[in-house]
Amino acid sequence: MCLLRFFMLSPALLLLLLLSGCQQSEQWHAKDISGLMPKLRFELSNAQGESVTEADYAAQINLLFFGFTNCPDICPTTLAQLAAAVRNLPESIRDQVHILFVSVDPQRDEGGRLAEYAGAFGEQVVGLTGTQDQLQALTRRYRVTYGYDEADANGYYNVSHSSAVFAFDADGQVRLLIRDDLTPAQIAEDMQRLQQNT
Amino acid sequence: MKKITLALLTALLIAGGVLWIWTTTAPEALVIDQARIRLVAGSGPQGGYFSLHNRTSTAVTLQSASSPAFARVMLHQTRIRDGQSEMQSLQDGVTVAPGESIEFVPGGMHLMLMQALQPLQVGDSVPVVLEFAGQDQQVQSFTHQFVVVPLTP
Ligand SMILES: [Cu+2]
Repeated sequence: MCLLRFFMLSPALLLLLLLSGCQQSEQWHAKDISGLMPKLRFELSNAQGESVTEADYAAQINLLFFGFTNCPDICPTTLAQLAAAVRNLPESIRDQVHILFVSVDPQRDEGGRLAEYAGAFGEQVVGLTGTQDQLQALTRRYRVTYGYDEADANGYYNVSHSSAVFAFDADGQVRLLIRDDLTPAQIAEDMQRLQQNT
Repeated sequence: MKKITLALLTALLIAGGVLWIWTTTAPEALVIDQARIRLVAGSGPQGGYFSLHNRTSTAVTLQSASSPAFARVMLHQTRIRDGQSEMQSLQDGVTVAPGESIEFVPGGMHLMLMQALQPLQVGDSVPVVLEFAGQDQQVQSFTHQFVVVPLTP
């Protein structure tokens, strides 16, 4: 259908058609941000304290998300939503999707604590953190920020962080921005499509 | 005959009316329901949630909370602004007008339960003390049982 009309329409009309009608079947549930951010690249440490880079998570879909473990409200809500999406995937591609949970609170989130928190959401959730320099480099790369409030009398402090979830395809290209109002089924549908058209 | 029926009907209506008034105004109380703690793995803080219905005739303010099962409890609110999410202390408490309800839900207001003194398990019942101030600034405490629930239903 679209090809047929291709020859009969002016370029301006064609463009309009391409943007609306023909692309209807190309719609994602999440926001398409292809090309708007650089490829996945980072230097961080995993929960075992080993240095890792994007190469350790290559050739798979990666969902990048920032948070901290002293967050019992919004961070686990998002992680549970993403983990449920992964469980919704056909078994054959489930292990080709990873959720990279990057703690921007390395002072409190080294080692065991991060592993325990992230691991509870399933094997596909990877807890990562890094030095301030490493975290700054990564957050700047994706134009997000984080910060610390002043500590209270008990030494407790709040951390503000981006609520964005970035999806990268198996080539490491940024593709989607996942909003928190999507259902696990919708996210799973997007992941499946991403897996098919990388 | 007709008069008697009419009188009977009127009497019934009045009695019904009185009964209606009695049932709607009698339970003068603060009602808490759906009290739960969503279990998060690890030794970090837990989030407590509930609904609060103010069925009294005056405004009340939830000022603070505590629990024998946690070192400290804070009143918190998660806010997402310009794609940035942050937690804030509700330092002035939360005021509920008469007849109004508020909800502590994930992604909004929550009890920030710090340092569980014993490991929690799904199904546990944990007492939480909620302190309210009324119009006369008198503080009233209510202890309510919060059920530990899994993160995802
Ligand atoms: Cu909080």
